[in-house]
Order: sequence, then C-alpha cells, then structure tokens
Amino acid sequence: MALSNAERRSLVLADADASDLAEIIDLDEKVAGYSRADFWRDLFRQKAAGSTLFVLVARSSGVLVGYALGEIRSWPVRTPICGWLYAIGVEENHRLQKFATALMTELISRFRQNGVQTVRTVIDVDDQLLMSFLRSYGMSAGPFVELEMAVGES
Amino acid sequence: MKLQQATRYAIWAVIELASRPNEQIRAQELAQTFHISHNHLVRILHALAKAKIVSSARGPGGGFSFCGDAKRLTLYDIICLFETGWPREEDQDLRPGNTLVSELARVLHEVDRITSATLRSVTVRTIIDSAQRRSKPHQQIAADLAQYSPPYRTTTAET
Repeated sequence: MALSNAERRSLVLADADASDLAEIIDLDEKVAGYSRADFWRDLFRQKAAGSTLFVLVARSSGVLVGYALGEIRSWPVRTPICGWLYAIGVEENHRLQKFATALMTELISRFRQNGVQTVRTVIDVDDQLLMSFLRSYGMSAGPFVELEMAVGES
Repeated sequence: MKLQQATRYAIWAVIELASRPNEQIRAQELAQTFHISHNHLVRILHALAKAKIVSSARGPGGGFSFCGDAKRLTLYDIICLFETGWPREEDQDLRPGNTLVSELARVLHEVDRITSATLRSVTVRTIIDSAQRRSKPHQQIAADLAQYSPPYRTTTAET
C-alpha cells in the first residue's frame, strides 16, 4: 500500500521514550516474527540509567511505523569504538517508502555526532530482506565472523 | 568462489545494461567493453533474454537493453541461470557412517550458506549504487544520504 505525499510528509523521527515501549514491542514482534518484550524492557531500563543506546521511532500520522536501535560501544577484537546497529524495522504496509533509510541515516548521524566512524551489525544469515536493505544502504562484510557452539547438556 | 566464464560475463552484461537504462546497446559494444568474444556474449545475452532479464531490438539503433527489475534481481538469480549443480543440495554429503566426510561436508555447507545468503542479498541495483558510491568522496556520500531526511521532520526529544 503506497502512502500519499501527505502521509509521507507527516513522518516524524524521534528519540523513543518510555511511552513508546509497548508499541515498539508490538511492532518488533510483527517484524521479527517473535516476541522480544523482555529484551526491549531491559533495554529501556539501561537507557533510562544512562547509556550510549539510541532508540529511534518513526511515526506517520502519529502511528508507530518503524524503529531503529543502536549503541556506541567498544568491542574486544582489535577495533576502536564503533556504532552498532542492533535492530531496525518498518511496519509491512509502510515499506518501500525509504522510512528504514531515514531511520538508518538518522541513527548514523547520531553516531557521527559522537565521533563514530564505523557502523557494524550482526544479522541472521537467512534474513534476506534485512541483509538486502543493509547492503543497498552500503554495508558490506566486515573483518569479523560470528562463531558459536552449543554448551548446554545434550 | 569460482564462477564459470559465462556466468561472469552474464553478470557483467546485466549490470552494464541495467546501469544504462533506456539505451539499446549492441553486443559488439559490450564485447569490446569487456574484451570478450562477441559470439560467446551473444549466446549469453540470448539466454538472458529467454529469462526475460534483457530484451533485444533488431535493426539500426537496435541492441540489447535491461528489462528486469534491478531492485529485485539478485546475483544469485543470474548465477543460478548459468551454473549447473549450484547451489549444492543441502546435506548431500552428510552420509551416515562416515563422520570425517560428514564433518567436512558441514564445513563446506557453512561456506555455501554464507555465499548463498550474500548472493541472494545483493541486487543489480545495489551493485550499481555501491559502485557509484565508492567513486564519490565521503562528503558527497553524506550529502546523498541527507536527501532522505526531507520531507521527514526530526525531533530530538529528551527521554
């Protein structure tokens, strides 16, 4: 469903506050396909306690249509402090309107204002939609590889 | 990743044609651009035409043009047209009873999975845009991205 120019003009990007939490949790569940309510609640607690977390929301005509989550932090593998994109999502009916691009651009702008020169992320290898978006934005493979192993009881 | 010659030429041709929309480009010109065999390229272009990725027009001023969706067509789509037996069937080497072979197959599958995901995520449009982006100074990139701010209004409400 394409948005009208009036709807596009009504888009507002803003820093999220506690009143956005419930809507973010709902939208994130739709985007991700599973609930991460505890993750978001914990995140907002960290944010309230003072951190380098950035939670941005995109509202169209007052309705939450997108979000982006990032943080400035160091990483223990031969890299200076950098900006991390933890999550970004746009409501399905509002895609292809450059809203994710607007959120990403705003997040990177915040990173830049804080002296960050590199943005990184880790995503699901099978999340083709997100990977395509990030590559179209200009991201490409970095110098790290994620490795893991099961350590629980078999 | 080792691609067949025909696959590489097909990708080159598609990207070149897609980067020049509304142009009819003769196979001879493409062949000269890439320093490759004209006859070989024509066969590749006909295969791409059959897949409805390029179209051809005969006569003076005729040639080949891109007719696909550059924002949807991925490198994976093009590669699959020309590479046989790729991507490998998952778990084809996971034969029970030979743990060494199975372990090696797991590692190769790990590589294939990342390769496949990467190729599926890179569209023709992304290649063209990335090439243009890399040829620009950093300040121009920032200016280009800034175009996505208007008509958006940004607030910086404190939490």
